[in-house]
Amino acid sequence: MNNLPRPVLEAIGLTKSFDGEKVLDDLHLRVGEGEIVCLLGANGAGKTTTINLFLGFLTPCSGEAKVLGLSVRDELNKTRALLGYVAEIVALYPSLTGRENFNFFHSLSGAAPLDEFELSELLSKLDFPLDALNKPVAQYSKGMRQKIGLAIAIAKKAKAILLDEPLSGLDPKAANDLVHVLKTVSAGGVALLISSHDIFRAKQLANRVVIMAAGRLKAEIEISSMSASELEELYLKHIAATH
Amino acid sequence: MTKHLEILKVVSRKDRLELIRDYRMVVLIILILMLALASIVNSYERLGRYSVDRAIATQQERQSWLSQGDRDPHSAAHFAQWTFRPLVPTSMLDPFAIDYAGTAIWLEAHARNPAAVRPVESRASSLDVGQLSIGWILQALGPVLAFLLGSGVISKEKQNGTLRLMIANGIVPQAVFIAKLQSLFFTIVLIVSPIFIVGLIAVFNVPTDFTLDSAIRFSLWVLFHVAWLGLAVCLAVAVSALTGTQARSVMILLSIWAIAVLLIPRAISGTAEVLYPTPSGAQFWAQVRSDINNGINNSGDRKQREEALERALFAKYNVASRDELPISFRGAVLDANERFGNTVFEKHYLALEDIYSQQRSLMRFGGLFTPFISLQNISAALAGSDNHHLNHFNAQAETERQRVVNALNRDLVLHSVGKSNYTADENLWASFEVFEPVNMPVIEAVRGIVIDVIIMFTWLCIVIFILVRAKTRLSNEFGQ
Repeated sequence: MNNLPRPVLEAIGLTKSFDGEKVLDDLHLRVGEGEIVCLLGANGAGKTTTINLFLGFLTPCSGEAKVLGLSVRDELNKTRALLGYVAEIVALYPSLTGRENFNFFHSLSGAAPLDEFELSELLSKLDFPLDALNKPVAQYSKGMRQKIGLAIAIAKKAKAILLDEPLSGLDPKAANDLVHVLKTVSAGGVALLISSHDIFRAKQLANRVVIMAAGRLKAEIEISSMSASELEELYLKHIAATH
Repeated sequence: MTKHLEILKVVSRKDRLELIRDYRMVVLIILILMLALASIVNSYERLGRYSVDRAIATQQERQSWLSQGDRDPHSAAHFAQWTFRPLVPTSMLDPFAIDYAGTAIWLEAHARNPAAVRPVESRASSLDVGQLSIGWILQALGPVLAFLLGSGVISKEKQNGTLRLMIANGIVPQAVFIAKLQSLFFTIVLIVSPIFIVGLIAVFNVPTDFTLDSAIRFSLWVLFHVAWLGLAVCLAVAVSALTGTQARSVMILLSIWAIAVLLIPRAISGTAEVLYPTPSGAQFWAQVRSDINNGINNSGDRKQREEALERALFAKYNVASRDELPISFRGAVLDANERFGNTVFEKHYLALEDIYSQQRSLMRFGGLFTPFISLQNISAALAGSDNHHLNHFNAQAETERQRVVNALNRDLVLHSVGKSNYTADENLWASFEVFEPVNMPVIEAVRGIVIDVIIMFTWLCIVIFILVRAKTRLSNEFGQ
C-alpha cells in the first residue's frame, strides 16, 4: 500500500444527473503521480462528464472531486491551477501562430515565462516540428494542435493533465507519436487521466484502464495483468451488458 | 490589481493580433476612418467658407446700407439687410439643423422672415442620403463597429472552445469578462481617436473664434460620444456573453442597431409630424397676411385701424385734422402698422414654435426608446447647431429688426411733419451700429439638454445592469 503513488486526482462517489437522468453514478477513482489512467467507454459512458467535474465546469450532485487533496468545489481556482486540459480538438486561435497561442495561454496561467531555449526544448520533447512554430495554427494538423495543448499544460507545471479523446481521429503514426509523448510526460511525475474509445491504444498507453458504461465504473484493470485481446473481450462484455 | 492588469494586457494583445489579421475588419475600420476624415475635411471647408463669406457679406451689407443715399426712412426700412448667424467652431462636428434651418435672415420692415440660405437647397442631387458629419458617423456607425468587433469577444471564444481552455488554464470567467470589456473599449477608443484628434485640429483651426466656450463644447461632445461608444461596447459584450455563437450575437446586435438607430427615430419623427403637423409655408404666410389685412381674428382691417389711430391722435393732440397734428400722420400709421405687424408675427411665430416644441418634446420622449435620439440632441446642442441655438439667433435678429424699423419710423414721425418728401441721410444710417449677434453660451446649451443627459445616463445604467447579469451567467456556466 505504501508503494502506491501519491494521489493527484480522486473521485469519491461522484454522481451527476442532467434533468433527473444520471450520467455518472457513484464514481470512485484515483490517479497517482506519474500514473496514466484511461477511461474507456462508449459515447455517453460518463468519461467527459468525469473530466468536466475535475475541471469544475460541472458541479457534482453528490460526491467529491479532489486534486492533490483539495476539493474542486471548495477550491476551484486552486485546483484549476494544478490541472492541464487537452480537448479532443485543442481550441486555439487559427489566425495566431503556434508561438502566439502558446504565449497567450501560458501568460494566462500565471507561470513564469519561458525563454526561447526552454520553449524549444519543451516542444522538441513533444516531437513538435519547431519550424512550424511561427506558422498560423490554421495550417496545423490535429496532432500538432494537441502537442501545443500539451506544451501549454506542461509549461504551466500542471500536476495532472486531463485529456478528452486525444487519440481519436489521429492517423496511426500520429497516434503512436502521441502515445510516446504522453508516456514521456507521465514519466516526469504528471498524472494523466485520458478518455478514449480505443482499446488498443489504451492498452499501449495506460497503467490502468477504467471501463465505464452508462455512467458507472464497470471494471478497473491493471493493464500489465491483461493482454489486449482479453481487455477487448472484457470491454465488449460490459458494453453488451449495458445495452 | 497587478494580476488583473496582466490579464488585461495579455487578452488585449491577443485580441488586437486577431483583429489586425482579420482583413474584413481592417477594411471596415479603414473605410469608417476615411469616411470620418473626409467628412471632417468637408465640414472644415464648408465652415471656413461660410465664415469668410459671412465676413465679406456682412461688410458689403454694411457698405450698401451706409451708401444708400438720401431716402425716406421707411423706404430704408424696406431696403433692409441680411444678417448672418455666427457659427461656433464645433458646429462642423454636427451641423444637423443648420443645413435645414438656414444661416441668414433678411431683416426688413413689416416682415419677420424666417432664416434662409439653407445648404440643403444647394445640393446638386434631390436624393438626400443623409448628412455625413463626423457626429453622424460616430453616432450611427460607431455602434456598428463596436457590435461587429464585440459580437465575438466571448461568444466566439465559447463557440471555439478557447474560453474553456482559458478557464481551465486558471483564469476565472469574471476576469475574462472584464478583460474583454476593457480590451474592446480601449480598441474602439483607439480606432476612433484619430477622428477626435483630427476633429480637434479642424475645430481649432477653422476661421472662427476658438474660445474657452468652444473648448468646453468640444470636450463635452467628445465625452458624450465616448460614453455612447462605451454603451455600445457594454451591450456588445453582454450580448456576446449571453449567446452561444457569434452568428447569433451579430444578428441580435445588428437588429438592436437597426431598431435603435434607423427604425425608432424615423417612427417617432413621423408620429410627431402626424400628431403636431407643421403648416406649409404657403399656409403660414396666408394666415399672417390675413391677420395683417383683416386684423387678428378679423378685429378690423387696415382702414379701420387707420381710422381708429386717427381718432386716437386727434383726441390726444386735441386737433380736428391731420394737418394740425404736430407729428407726421403717415409716420404714425407706419409705426402703428409695424407694431401691429409685430404682434401678428409674434402670434404666428409663437404658434409655429409651439408646434416645433411639441414635436421636439415627442422626439425627446423617444429617447426613452432609444438613446440614439438623446445622443443626437446632446450632440447638436454641444455643436451649437440645434434649434435652441437657431431660436437664440432668431430672437436676437427679431429684436434688432424691430429696433431698426422702429427707430426709422420714429425718425419719420418726428421729422417729416409738413414735409411730403422728407428724406434722411447717411447720418441716420450710420447711427445704427453693425448688428453682431452672439452665440448662446455653453452653459445655456447644456441646460437645454439636461433631460437628454438623464435619459442617456439611465440607458447606461440599464446596459450596465444587463452586463452584470451577463457576467454572472457566464460565471455560472463555468461552475463559478
